[in-house]
Amino acid sequence: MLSQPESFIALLIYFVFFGLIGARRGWKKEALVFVLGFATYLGLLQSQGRLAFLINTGGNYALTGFPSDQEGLLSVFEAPPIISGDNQETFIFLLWALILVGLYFLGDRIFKKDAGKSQSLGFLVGVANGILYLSLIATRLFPIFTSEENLAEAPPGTQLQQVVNRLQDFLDVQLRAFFGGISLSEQRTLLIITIILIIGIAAYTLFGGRKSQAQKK
Amino acid sequence: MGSIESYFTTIALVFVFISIARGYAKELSTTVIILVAIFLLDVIDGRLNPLLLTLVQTVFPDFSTATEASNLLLCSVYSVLFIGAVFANYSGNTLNLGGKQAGPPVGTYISIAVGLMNGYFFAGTLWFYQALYDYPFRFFGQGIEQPLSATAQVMVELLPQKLATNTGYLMIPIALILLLRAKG
Repeated sequence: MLSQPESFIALLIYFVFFGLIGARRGWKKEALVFVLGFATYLGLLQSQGRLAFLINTGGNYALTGFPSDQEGLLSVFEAPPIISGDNQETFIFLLWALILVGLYFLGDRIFKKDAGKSQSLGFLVGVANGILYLSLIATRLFPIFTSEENLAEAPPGTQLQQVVNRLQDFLDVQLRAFFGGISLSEQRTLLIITIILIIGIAAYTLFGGRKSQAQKK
Repeated sequence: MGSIESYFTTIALVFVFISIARGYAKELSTTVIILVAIFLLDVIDGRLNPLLLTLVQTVFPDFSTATEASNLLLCSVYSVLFIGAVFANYSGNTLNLGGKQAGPPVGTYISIAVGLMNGYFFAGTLWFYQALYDYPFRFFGQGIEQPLSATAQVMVELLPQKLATNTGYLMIPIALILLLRAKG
């Protein structure tokens, strides 16, 4: 399948897309995301064991009510880990994804006025980011589209429908797996907290710290 | 007709687009109206039913209160009242909470979140009345795909009216908005 010319064209489109984003955002912002994004991923991989130990110990210490006696401290180490070996990789990837989003905000803040004028350099660093995402993000998307039959060999015109169907199946499984892990009352509590958080953040950014127009009058 | 979760998702997405276009400063006022409408409908729901059915029976003596038609009638009344309340906020003088919206990209993300939340409240309420009156649109020969899929069965337990034992909790977000509005 590596000889398919469509794959080569698709790859070119992919790189041009990232290159154009880089040219538009400026090479300094893109370089920051590339360097720190790659470095933090490697750093997280290196330190995942220590990080999991710190979170497990600290988390269980807090969950058991900050014990100071010997028995209580022993129960901290005997408690089931918050981040086990099974979900360690998911946790590292989630943490890295959050850092990556933060890096885009950071770049916008640091290079507000001068993000690098060279568009060709921006294009190149954008392509480098494309390669980084291809290796770290796209590979995690493959299982959605490579199960059962090969999507590239589906009859022409049905591919979009199949992509939508597979995405729907994937979300169904993910939703059921997530909600299956917690009880109905916990699901409801989670939803209420989310709603209050959204409203709180929206209302705070609207009214917090600034005088509203009505009050100025 | 298709699966109910597809309709739910589509309506929620429409609300996201509306929220991005209008901005969350205006959409937050819609949230207030939606929450008040859900609360008021929950208060009158059930109490109004005997009156409505008696009224219809007076006009149409052949109308039986224990049929699918009565379910369809009640479901339609509450759905129309709710849609009317939300539509009135969009079409008439919008409730103005004031305040200054955060600029992009943060403002856009908040608009998306508020739009999703409004979509959940709006589509969730319409779904709730469908479920409460046993999906009565099959009266017309077509209705929501039955039985509900496994995902829909999970979602139906998380509709706005089912989040707590009474809808009085809906006043908490409104109180939060008013408190921050008074502080600002």
